[in-house]
Amino acid sequence: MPALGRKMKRSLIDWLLIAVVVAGGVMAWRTGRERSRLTARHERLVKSTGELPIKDASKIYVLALDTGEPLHFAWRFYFPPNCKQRLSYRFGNQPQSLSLPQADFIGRVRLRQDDDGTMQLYYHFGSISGGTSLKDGELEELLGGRWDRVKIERLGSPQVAVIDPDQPAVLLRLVLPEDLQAAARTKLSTGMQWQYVPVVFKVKLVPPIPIR
Amino acid sequence: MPVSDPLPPRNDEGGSTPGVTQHVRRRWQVGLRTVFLLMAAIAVWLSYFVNLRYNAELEARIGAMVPLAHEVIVTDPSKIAVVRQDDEWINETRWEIHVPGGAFRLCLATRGIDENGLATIVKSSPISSGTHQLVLTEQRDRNPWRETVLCNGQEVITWATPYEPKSTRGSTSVAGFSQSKELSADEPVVLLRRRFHQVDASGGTSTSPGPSDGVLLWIERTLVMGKQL
Repeated sequence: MPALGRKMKRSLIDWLLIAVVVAGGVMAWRTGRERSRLTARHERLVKSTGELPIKDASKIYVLALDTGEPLHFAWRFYFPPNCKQRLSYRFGNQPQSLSLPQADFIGRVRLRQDDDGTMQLYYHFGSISGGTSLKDGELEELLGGRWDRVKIERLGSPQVAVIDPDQPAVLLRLVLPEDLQAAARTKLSTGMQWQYVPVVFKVKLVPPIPIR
Repeated sequence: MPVSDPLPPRNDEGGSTPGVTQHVRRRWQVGLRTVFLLMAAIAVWLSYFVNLRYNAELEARIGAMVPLAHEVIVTDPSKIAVVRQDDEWINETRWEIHVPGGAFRLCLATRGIDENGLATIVKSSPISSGTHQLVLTEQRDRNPWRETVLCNGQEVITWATPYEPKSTRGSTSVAGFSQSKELSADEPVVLLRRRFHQVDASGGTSTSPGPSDGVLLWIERTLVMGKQL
């Protein structure tokens, strides 16, 4: 009889363990399913907004995002508190400078030709947006239909760029390929060459000038 | 932990068959089956707790990205859900919307737009249930001014408004939904209310006190003979 009792006790333990395994299995399956759902959503969000691994909150982080368009550039930015970096660009004759919003945002620069063939620029950085046209006939003639040949250098691609807030950085640079540079040197006036050869368009992150 | 241990032959009355060794477990000995079950229990519960912790971490990371992604969030599929997305071009406004089951339409008005309420529809287009990307482009650099609405990349509304000299390019706009919002499907949902400023008597420009020209874009349930479809 004691042997039978022990056998029953062991059997009871096994049944209890089976119950624990089944309950745990159900819970693990449910959380696993939730994990798959969250992972898919996370991957989708990372594709649209990027994810910044901020290890030092006193630095600037920049990650280039894929937009699927050759002349549409987007970045995810993190700026530390009290960082007064500005964005500086020159498209055509007039250099421009913008105050950037602080903290975490997506910024974009987009170039496209309008119906008349004029190249237009649009930018959107947090709450700041605007645009301008490139009305340099000589450059339009040189580059008309060949903007896809311009070499693109952008910050934060393919990996996150980490910058000191007091350091300047080039966010985007569009460089003429060698053959177009040679063509530009023969076709463009000296002033135009100075503006557009070899870098046809550049956007920089500029630290504030220290007050002495 | 030993799984089994040979014991000396029993010497009770029944006796044991000579030459056959009986295996009897000690008090804390368990069988192989029990060990496997114990391992399985540890494995599944460990998976559960690992998943739980990982999910909490993922949710926190997702939470930080959602405000930047401007994704429409649908918790009640019977409601209209809207989120305004980042602009990607001049005079271009973008939304992601969820339209519930039933018949709905997108409506555009360009005249008689007041601070509240709707205006006379100049053009409308049915919109199916589901999630859609809407883009309104407003062309203001040539006459006539033109409004175009794209739904999932397809042009669904286009409307040309002859330029009115009394109107200016300046405008006052109301376009909320910077974060995803769900609204009753029984009421029209105004996506954009833009009212053009007008040239006043002094030659300056100001917002019209009454209805003015502009752009009003909204979604409403389609009614036939006053009944919902």
